[in-house]
Amino acid sequence: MDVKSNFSIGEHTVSQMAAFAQSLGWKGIVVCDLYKDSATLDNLNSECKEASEKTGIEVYSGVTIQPKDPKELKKLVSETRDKVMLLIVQGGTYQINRAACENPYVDILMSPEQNRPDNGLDEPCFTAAQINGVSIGLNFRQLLNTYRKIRSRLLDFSKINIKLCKKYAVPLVVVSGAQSMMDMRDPRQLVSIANVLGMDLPHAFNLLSSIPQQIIEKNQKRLEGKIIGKGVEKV
Amino acid sequence: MREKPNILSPTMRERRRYLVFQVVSKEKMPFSDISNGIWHSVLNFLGELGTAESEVWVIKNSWDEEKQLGIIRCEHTAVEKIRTALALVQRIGDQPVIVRVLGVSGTIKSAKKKFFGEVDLLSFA
Repeated sequence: MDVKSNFSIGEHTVSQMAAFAQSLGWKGIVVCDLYKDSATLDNLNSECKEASEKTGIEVYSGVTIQPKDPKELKKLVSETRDKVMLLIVQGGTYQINRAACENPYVDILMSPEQNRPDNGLDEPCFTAAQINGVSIGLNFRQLLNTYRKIRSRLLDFSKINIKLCKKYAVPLVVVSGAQSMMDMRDPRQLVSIANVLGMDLPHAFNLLSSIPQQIIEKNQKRLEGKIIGKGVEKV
Repeated sequence: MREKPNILSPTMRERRRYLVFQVVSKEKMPFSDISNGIWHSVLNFLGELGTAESEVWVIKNSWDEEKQLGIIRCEHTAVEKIRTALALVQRIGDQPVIVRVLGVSGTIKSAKKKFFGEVDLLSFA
């Protein structure tokens, strides 16, 4: 999940990333490039379909948005929601973290603890995330590219977020955040990171298997027009 | 006089696990570089005390330079920590690398059988 391709800040093409992911043992990836405009999203969608046919693994398109304030978040979500399978909001300020948790159209709030002196979320955020089905994302690349003091602070805040996610029954996902092939790791290693940070092993496996699958299935139905409103679904 | 002390009884011995890893990089790398890179990452992630408690050791004899496969020994409760430390290896020397754990085994013999393709001659008897 959350792999960046050369459509935005990544180094390699979608097909190259998909082929390498397959060699590491992944059965599917979601390419979540940074949002530029809707034309780029359409190109990404077609590229993902091609890569999926070429490699044989499931390749979905997604988008990562980096809003400056809650108003911009709302605007970007309405622009992109119907075009992609996965919508990720890059966390940072408390206002954005809270607005993302309160928006039912957001799939994942990524790294709420980024560039902060705290974990970035509090009780109302977790309650809102649980009601709106927003998952909290743990970005592996962030851990990979930091060292010593900063890494230890990140691990500390991630540990707190995992503990609170368990308490408030908020779904949690571990994503690779890879921007090149060498940033990717095999799924079992990402499971062990969640385990080291306090998630028990059976649940840690779910963070990379059943929870992402549920998000994809929900959005597949949404894109097919089967979901009419909250709790109302065409069967 | 014996040069080595007697081996402890099985109940007194530490329970060890052997992680078989593969190094993914553009060029093949020698054991010394890999060993240094792994030690650096493990010490960075677990600290000196954590590393000592994990009883980590990179086994030199089992390094296969052709296949870029090796074995790390650790304490049985520290397997997940070592997996994480290996995931955080990003670069050794100038080269970007991925250290991939292929599996865990209880003995070096069975690790070699499973992952190095070694055949036990006694199985033909």
